Amino acid sequence: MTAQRCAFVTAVALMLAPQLVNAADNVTLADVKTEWQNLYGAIVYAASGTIKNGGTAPVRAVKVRIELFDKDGKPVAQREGYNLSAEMLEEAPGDIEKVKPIPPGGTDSLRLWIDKSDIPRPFRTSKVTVVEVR
Amino acid sequence: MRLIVLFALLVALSDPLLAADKLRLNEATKEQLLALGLSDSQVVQILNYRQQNGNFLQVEELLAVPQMSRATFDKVRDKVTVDE
Repeated sequence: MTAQRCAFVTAVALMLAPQLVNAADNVTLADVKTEWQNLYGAIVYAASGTIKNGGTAPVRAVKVRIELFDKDGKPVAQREGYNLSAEMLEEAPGDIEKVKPIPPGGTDSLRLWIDKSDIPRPFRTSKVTVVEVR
Repeated sequence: MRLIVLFALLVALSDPLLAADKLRLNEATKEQLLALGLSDSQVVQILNYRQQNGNFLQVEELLAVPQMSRATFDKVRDKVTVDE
């Protein structure tokens, strides 16, 4: 790579980096609810809610993490997933262009769950957070 | 008077529902669950659920048991616990 190309790549990266950070900052979760569900015999601990894009640019994929903690605050289990429109990315991570974007000021639904069989021991609290925005 | 207080203390400590200790959901017997005020069919459902799905991981998991309404759950939630 020539010095000129290297400088160009660095400049582009520097321009994009703040936007990624800002996008993550501007995406928020609202009305998050967690509950146990019995889906015809499949027992899951499920989180649902609304993802709000409070930024000025559309976002396509919002990666969300649910974490479970025991009474001492130690992690018990976790799982990551996407907003409803981007759930297909779990199967095809490269298909982001096919995802319908969330416009500025727009919302999308969140539904994320952990199978009971993936939770190794009792837990007391849970936390749902945005971990990545694209 | 002292005897009455002593007797009351003994009764409270001998009954798990009145004592500070809560009923352990993962070890509870049919009789203990019935003593919480649950119906026969609700108790059977809880025991079947525990047998099929393993120990409860949270008290709130009771809501995944068939026939367990929110009202019933609210009635017993403070009387039971899970092993941690």
